[in-house]
Amino acid sequence: MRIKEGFVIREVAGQIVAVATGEAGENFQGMIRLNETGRDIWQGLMDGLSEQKIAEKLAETYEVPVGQARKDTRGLLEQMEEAGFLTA
Amino acid sequence: MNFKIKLADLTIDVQSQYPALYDFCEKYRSEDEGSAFLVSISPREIAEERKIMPDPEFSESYLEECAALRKIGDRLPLYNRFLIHGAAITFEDRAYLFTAPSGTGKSSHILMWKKYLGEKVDIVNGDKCILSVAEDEIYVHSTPWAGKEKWNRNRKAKLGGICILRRGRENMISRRKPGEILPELVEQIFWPKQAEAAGRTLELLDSLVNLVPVYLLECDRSEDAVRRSFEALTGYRYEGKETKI
Repeated sequence: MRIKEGFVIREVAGQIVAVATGEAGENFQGMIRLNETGRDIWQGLMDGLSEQKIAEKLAETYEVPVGQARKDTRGLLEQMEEAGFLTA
Repeated sequence: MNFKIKLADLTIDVQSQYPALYDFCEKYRSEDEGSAFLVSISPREIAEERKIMPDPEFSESYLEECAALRKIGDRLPLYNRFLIHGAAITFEDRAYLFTAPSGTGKSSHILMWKKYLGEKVDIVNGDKCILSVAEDEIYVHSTPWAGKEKWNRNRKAKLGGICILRRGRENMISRRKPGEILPELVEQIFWPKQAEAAGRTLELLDSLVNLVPVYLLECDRSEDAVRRSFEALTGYRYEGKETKI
């Protein structure tokens, strides 16, 4: 499982915003608002990291238990899968 | 056909399949030396437009106009410019951009500005504008792509405000914080196919909302709607009177 190619993330007006181009843009137009953890998870996926690795990095960055970080990561991944942002 | 056009102070080489594009770009043709980039429209790209707009009523040359706009829109962000769907007018040399989904009433609203505010109002473009970001200023530039009314004048002006239009029963206008109206703006911006240009567009959008006030206008089609948007955008008191247009 990987994130579709073509998402772009930037900070706009103090918000973290993603838009889709290329493969990702075929089925999604518009913008997605992310919080900081969301951005880190999303960026981790774009960098090709595993779910486990992303959760470990989150735990380290935000000084939270790995269990909590895993739950957050899983939660966002499920939402992204439902939205069709992920592909086999 | 090979020719050059100048859009938003950028010279662009164009290679078209049909001479209609040359005529379409008449007011924007340029004899300048050199160019920023080349836009060459292939039969395959015209066929791609046909897939999006299969209605046989659309001629091949119209589809070429659409393909050309798409290709130009893909490149502009690399030159600190981007395309936006909206109608721009000027009042005393300051430009105001009205944006909303098609069919909301942008054309009617700017036409009412002309009707009630007369010759001080000039229509820059009724449908597709280029915004350029330079230093601390945003400029709005016209393009040949001007919707069914074809209102366009080859000029640019400093952007003084953006107004998002919504149809409403009452006329209300309020200034919005940049973060509140991003989805409405994102929806009307042309998003390039390539990630680099799309990322650049988000950066330019950040500059835009930090430099230019954005208002949300809920309006009907009355003079009161013009009064509201005029006073909020220009900061002047409305003293309009009906003029013949």
